[in-house]
Amino acid sequence: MDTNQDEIPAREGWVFTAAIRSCAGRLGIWGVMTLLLALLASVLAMPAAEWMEGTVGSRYAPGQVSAGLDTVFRADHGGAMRRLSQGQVASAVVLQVLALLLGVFAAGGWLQVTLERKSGKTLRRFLFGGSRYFLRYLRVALLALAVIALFRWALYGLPWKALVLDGMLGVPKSDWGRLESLDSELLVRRLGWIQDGTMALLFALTMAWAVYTRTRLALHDSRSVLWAGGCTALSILRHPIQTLRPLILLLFTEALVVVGICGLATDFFDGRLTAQPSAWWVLALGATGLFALAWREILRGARYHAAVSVSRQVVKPTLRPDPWRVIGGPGGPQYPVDDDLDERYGVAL
Amino acid sequence: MLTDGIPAGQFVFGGTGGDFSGEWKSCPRIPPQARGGLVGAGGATHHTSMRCSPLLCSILLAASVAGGTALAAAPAQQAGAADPAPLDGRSSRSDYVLRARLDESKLLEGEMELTWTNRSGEPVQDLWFHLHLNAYANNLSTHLYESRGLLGGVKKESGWGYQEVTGISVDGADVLPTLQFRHPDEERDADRTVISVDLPAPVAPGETIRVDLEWRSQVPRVRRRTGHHGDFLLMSHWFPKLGVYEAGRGWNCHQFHMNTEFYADYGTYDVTLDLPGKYAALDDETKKIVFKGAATGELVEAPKVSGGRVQVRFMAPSEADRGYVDPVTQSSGTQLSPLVHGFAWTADPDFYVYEKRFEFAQWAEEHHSEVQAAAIAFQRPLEEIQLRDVDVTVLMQPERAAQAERHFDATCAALFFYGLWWGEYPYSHITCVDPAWGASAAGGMEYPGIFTAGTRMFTEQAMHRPEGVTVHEAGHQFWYGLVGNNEYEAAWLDEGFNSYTDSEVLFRHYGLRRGATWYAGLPEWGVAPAPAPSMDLFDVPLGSYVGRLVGKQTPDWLRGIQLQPLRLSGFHKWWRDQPRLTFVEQHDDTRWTDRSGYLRSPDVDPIDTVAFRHLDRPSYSTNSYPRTAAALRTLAGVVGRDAFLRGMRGYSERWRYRHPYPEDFYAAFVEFSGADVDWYFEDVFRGNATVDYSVRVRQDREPEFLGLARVDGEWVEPSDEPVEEPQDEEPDSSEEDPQASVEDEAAGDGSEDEDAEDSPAPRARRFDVVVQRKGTLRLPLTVQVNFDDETAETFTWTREAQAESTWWRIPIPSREAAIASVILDPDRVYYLDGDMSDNQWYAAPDSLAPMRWGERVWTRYAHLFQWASTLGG
Repeated sequence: MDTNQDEIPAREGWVFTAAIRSCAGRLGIWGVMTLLLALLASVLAMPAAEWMEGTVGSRYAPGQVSAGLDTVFRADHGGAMRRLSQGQVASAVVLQVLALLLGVFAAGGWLQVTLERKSGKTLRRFLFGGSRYFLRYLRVALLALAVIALFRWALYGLPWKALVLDGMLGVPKSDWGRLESLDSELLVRRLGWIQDGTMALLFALTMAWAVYTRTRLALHDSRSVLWAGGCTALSILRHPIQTLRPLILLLFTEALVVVGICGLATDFFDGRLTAQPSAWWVLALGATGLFALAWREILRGARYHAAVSVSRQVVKPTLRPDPWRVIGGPGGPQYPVDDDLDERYGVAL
Repeated sequence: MLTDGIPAGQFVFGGTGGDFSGEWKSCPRIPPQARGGLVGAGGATHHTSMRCSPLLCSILLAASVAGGTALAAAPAQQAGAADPAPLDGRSSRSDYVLRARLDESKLLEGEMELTWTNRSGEPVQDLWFHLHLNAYANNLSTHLYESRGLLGGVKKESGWGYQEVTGISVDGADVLPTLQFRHPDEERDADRTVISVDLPAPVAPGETIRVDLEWRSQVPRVRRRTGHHGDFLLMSHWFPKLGVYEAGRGWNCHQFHMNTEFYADYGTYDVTLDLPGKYAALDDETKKIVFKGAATGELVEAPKVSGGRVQVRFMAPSEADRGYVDPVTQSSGTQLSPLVHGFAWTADPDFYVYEKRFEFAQWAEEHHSEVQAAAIAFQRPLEEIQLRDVDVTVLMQPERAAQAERHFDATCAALFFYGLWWGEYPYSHITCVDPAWGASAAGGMEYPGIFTAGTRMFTEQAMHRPEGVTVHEAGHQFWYGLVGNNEYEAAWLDEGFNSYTDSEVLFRHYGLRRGATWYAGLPEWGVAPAPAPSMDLFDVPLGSYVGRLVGKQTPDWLRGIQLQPLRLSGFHKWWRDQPRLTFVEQHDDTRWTDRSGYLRSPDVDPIDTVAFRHLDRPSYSTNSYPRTAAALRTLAGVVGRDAFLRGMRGYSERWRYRHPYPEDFYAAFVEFSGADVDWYFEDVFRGNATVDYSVRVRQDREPEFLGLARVDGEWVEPSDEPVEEPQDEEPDSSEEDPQASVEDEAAGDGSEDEDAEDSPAPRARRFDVVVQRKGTLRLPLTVQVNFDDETAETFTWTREAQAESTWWRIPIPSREAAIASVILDPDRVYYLDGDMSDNQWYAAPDSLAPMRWGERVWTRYAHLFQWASTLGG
């Protein structure tokens, strides 16, 4: 599919819809990402299905444990289920780190594809970008985690306890864990929501900051994550609405589709499966999950597409010559790479 | 036929006709109609015991012949009698008049006038009292020592309380100098929960004494059951309480153990409380002063407010109830008015008060079939099992006021079902209390006429929260309140019976319990099909690192810094999990959750173990609650539900307002159910017998004849046709995996069906169905074999046959139809079976389940990993 990514309309229409349209067209990229995540999940799903097959065997009536695992099943197989869960958790930790690294790679790939002024096959450019920016973006990810950790410490650690619990509410130190000295459950819940809500907001802001930081690094082809991060923070502070609005709208879009549409579909299919056990309903559930996964991958690309659009408005161009305007690709001197030509040099790592 | 009576062995009963003292004799069972009523309505102070002489026994026995059955109705003979009967050596009577004053510092000073009637049949030399609050006086009390200083998961380091007797006299004689602390169960000097005083003169059987006692208490911060939290007060165990004198055993007055609760005489209470004025408020509607609290019994008069204080007076049972003839005792001929064996009260200026009436007719209409079933089981007309209406008060915390109606409904459910099955709630009023925030340790407790539930905001009815705890605690009005077993020694007699019943009630009235996952204190339906990976990997104990560098001088705040970037907040966790997309529904049948609980500790201690002698708290909890419930439910399966209900009802009626022990339950159940199940009680309640049945199935075609046949004295080949290889070679059944045999059978069948076109007639199938007993308990076992031609056969493996062998090959003749399924215990009545996964076999394996659960796990992890990938970019 030919899509000229250079034709990003900066001020025409909604940035976020243009981003979605553009990225949805890149089937090769989000398809591969979806497939990779699906494969990671399959590593854990296959043993689970195998365990269930061995456990159910001929011991349960067809359809008896398809909709839900009843009280008796969970009691009879409680030990085996616990062991299965322990194994899943141990494996999932490793796979989760792989997924995180995959995300680092995907960010570079999407930015590479978004920033390049070319059309044609994009998967190879995606792989190239992922490799190219990998280490820089890994540092961005670690920095983002460090920032989140600080926010968390401030909201759930000593600062919150000393300032809010002790200073404002007079909760003695011995009660910081249980908050029993507060007047009512409602007050405790509200405090929790303030904490949780603020933390969720800061988390989302940090993620948005990280997106713009990566974009700035790519735009300027710079390597200092700290410098880019600082500049990005200032940019966001100067243009909060312009920078955050498309990302917020993308988040709402993601919620609308994943929680709303796919959630309702899951409810429906699950209800049908309970009423009338059939493999078709299971397939429908799987398809729903897969669609939601693909949608989230599209929106990952859309975030970078939107970030590029906005950054071109709010980020000053680098004083250095723009290498890709000269050579045809970001990242400094290299051989021109063009998918339409039968280039023989492959991806320069 | 059902018959009533009293335990053989000894028989003493009260009366008004003078002293009929005689020898203690074993007495034949006496019909209730012949026992006569007892005098002493309300606060009777004098009593005369009457011992059963052989002559009298004969007369009573003769009367019993004409007296009808135990569960049959008997006309009321004397309304308003208020004493438990017949005597059993542990049914003394305690009537309390209490006056207490509580100040703002939660210091309580009280006076007690106790009228005690010795109905033990033995002269009594001393009096023993519980001082329960001293359990919270120090960390070396028996209670706290056993709980390792933890109460409700909190280390008890402050908020101590105590109770001190400052004066005591008996019939005017000062006995305070004789006061001594007692440790009947184990020596523990720091424990001050039991005292005794010597009596100036022994109290003869039937004699009544008056005890005047003054005491002072510091009310502890509530960490278990009783105490205060801020202005919230839940006062149980708050006054010095007399133990129970038992003939042949003396005073039953145990130290206050971690796992023990109550045991006290039945009687009456007249209580006046003088409290700070904040516990009174002006009702906006009636413009009257109301008391922001409640207690056992009912308010006698309007609260009196003066000098910044409020004074309230309660009577328990209420004045009206003291003149009410309990129809359950009327049925059994004793005609008693209600009594109580404790008094608790609560107060909180913040209480939201919700009042409504339980109306039996409305509930009977809603659950008509249950009423019919009970009438059939008890063989009584409907009007005889109807219940009285009851005023229900729900005291809620303001932020949970929206749940008041749900608390009311659950209380009504308990009043209805428990009343229907075990006999009416005989009091006119009941109060349900929602403890204040920070006082949840007061929740989930039962007291006569008043109980505490426990809930949180945003719960839904389908979660059974607070419905579960409310039904359970309201249900204790029956098991504990009306049948007053010794909770120190046999807690399972009330907790287990109550757990059995509450599960039945919850299932009938509320259906299955729906699983939910909580995010930021808000529920989301469903549960995760697989666990999320741990986030510990990303934790950085920064403070600890700095501490190592700096050394001992590192301040605590710095040392405590932990960087935990991926310990998610509630809302964020919800976004990560995407529960609506990735979770599965989970429903629980409360009757089967009793079994799940039982399997956590199935054979550590017998059920029938003294509460504070269990190995540990899990063993106590399992045996006292779910294991007893599962054992009772299985018992119902053994004897049949109607017989079970009769047995339990008979026990409940016989021991109403009395103190049964396990052997009393066993005897009453056998008698009233008509089922000889002593073996069951011996194995399941007194022993650790386990249940585990399994079945394995193999089926194939009868083989073709191969080889030589004896024809006309000669060995000959039966046919010239080529010999077919056998399709199914029977493997060694003792080692074969049943699952594998299914696959063999399926394959064999398929090939034969193809051959069948050429064969003149298909060979019949032969079956090998083997049932095995792996547990030690032998239960009569029903086996249902279903064939694919829609026919079924049922077999029974008797207890006797099981005694001879631990396995049974079911004799199923060869036939054309194949077995579609084999199901052990098809009605699912044996809740004690430790592994039910092998209790059935199906010819068609379930191929959908692996696909379904594989898909759910896949979707779950795919989205978890997608979320993790967004952290990277």
